[in-house]
Amino acid sequence: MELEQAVKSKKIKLGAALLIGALILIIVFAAGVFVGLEKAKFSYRWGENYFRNFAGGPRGGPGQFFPDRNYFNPHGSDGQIIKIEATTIIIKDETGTEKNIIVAADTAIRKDRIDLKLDDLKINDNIVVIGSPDDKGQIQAKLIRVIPSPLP
Amino acid sequence: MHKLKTQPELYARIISQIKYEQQLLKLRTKLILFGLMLATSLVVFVLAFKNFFVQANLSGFLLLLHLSATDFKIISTHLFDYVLSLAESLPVVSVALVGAVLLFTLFSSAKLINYLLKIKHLRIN
Repeated sequence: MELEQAVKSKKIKLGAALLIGALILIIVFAAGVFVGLEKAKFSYRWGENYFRNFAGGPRGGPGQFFPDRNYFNPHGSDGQIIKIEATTIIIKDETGTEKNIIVAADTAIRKDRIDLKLDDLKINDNIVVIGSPDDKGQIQAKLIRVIPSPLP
Repeated sequence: MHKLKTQPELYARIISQIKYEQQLLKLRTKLILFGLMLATSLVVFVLAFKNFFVQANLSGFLLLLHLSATDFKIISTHLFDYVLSLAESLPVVSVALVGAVLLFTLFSSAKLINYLLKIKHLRIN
């Protein structure tokens, strides 16, 4: 009976609530750190790849080139197609950042309810991509959906 | 000269009435305060929600979310990548702001309702 009363006491309940709250905070914090690290790693690899392939200049890392307000999302992106090379699509998002999207044989390309092939994609098409990052700062696409052009 | 016969309960009634008026005044003041807080928080909530909508659009979160409706089967086979893409594009500051303002709005409205009920209870008694 005493144990039952102790368990039901306000102090115990408050302590339990604080513990649960702390646990939730820790889990959320860990998830935030994980997502942040993924974005930072991808952004770094993107920067390394950009300098190697486009700028040709000295490699200074992302800190010298990127505005510090954004890190790139490695598992998804959206933008307008600016170039199609073999199995690589280059898109430009709203911030003007260019990203390489690698299209594999098992990549699903869809527009409305129709399945498309890579050859059906054109310059200036707007697409949304889901994929996973590789070690060159590119996105290996799993799904590409062609969307209507946004209103000006 | 007739002696004034004071009713013994008159003093108690006067004191009770004074206390009632004081309580009513306090409750009315709190009602106005929380009413203003609620009105302000509603305005801020609308602005915060609009801001969230704009940020979610810019980051691509809404487009990615829409894929769950259009391409559910494909997404279910790449669920890990999809969930991460949503987490990465979520405008966390806007979401936190909307959440905070919503909590404040709920708190203000709860307090307002509480004081309204207290006034009603006071008047009935």
